[in-house]
Amino acid sequence: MTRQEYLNAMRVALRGTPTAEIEDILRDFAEHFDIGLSQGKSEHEVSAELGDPATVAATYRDPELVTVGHTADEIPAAAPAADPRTSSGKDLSYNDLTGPRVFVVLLNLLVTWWVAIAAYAVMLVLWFLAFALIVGGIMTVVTALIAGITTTTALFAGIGLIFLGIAIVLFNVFLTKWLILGSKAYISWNRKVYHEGF
Amino acid sequence: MNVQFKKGVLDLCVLSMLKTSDQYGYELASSLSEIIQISDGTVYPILRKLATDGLVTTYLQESQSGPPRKYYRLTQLGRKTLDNLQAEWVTFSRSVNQIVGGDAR
Repeated sequence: MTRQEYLNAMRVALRGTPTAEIEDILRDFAEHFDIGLSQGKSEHEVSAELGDPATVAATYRDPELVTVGHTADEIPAAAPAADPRTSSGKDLSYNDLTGPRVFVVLLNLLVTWWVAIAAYAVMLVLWFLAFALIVGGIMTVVTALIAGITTTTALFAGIGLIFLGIAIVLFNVFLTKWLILGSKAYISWNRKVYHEGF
Repeated sequence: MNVQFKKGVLDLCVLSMLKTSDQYGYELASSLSEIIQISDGTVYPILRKLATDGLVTTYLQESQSGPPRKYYRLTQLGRKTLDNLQAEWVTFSRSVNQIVGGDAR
């Protein structure tokens, strides 16, 4: 949770308390955030340390509820469930995504787009080539048989073409699979950087 | 640590921490949560309750870095209450130790 999200959640949870008191309470928490941030903590870390806003707010109403708290080692385990972005400390870049976003857009416009076009074009060409070789090979063999040409050269040339075509098909299957998997991985990486930073 | 244990001693802990010097909320929250593992946020309701009960007062003080901080100070009543609680705690914990640990000091 960011500072603003936390304070909003507190405000909602404190509904029904006199307004002046709510403002006073929120001031305390805003101060807590400010000091935490000035000590180099992220907004997410401070939120996690403060604990669930609804629980804290309930404690104001009934002080007997006090301190249903986390232990120090529970906090990192609980935080990712509440907000995946706090995992692996990536939350530091959460506040400013301008850099990562510009990077992703530029990378795609300047590099990825052209590489992808070239790779997919090569793949397409190879599929056509394989198809043409196989068809060509079959035609050669059939023509040779119909024409009654018994020279082994024509037969072997045809069969050779067919095998070459099949070899290219096999290679192409791998290439296509790799390209699709690579594209998927790249897209999800892009999405992550765009939304969460590096 | 058992939540029920903590509940009983939080007031005592906060009051004790204010015994030697006035402190601001963040300071109290982080040292307290470090020692007895509570979430920082629950310190503020305690402080508010102590203020309402007249055991502490607050004042704002500028800090070298950043905005002014709200400091908490024990009142006369707070000091008296702390002394009582402290005495009770010592007796109580000694008795519990006798039962639990067989530790008769």
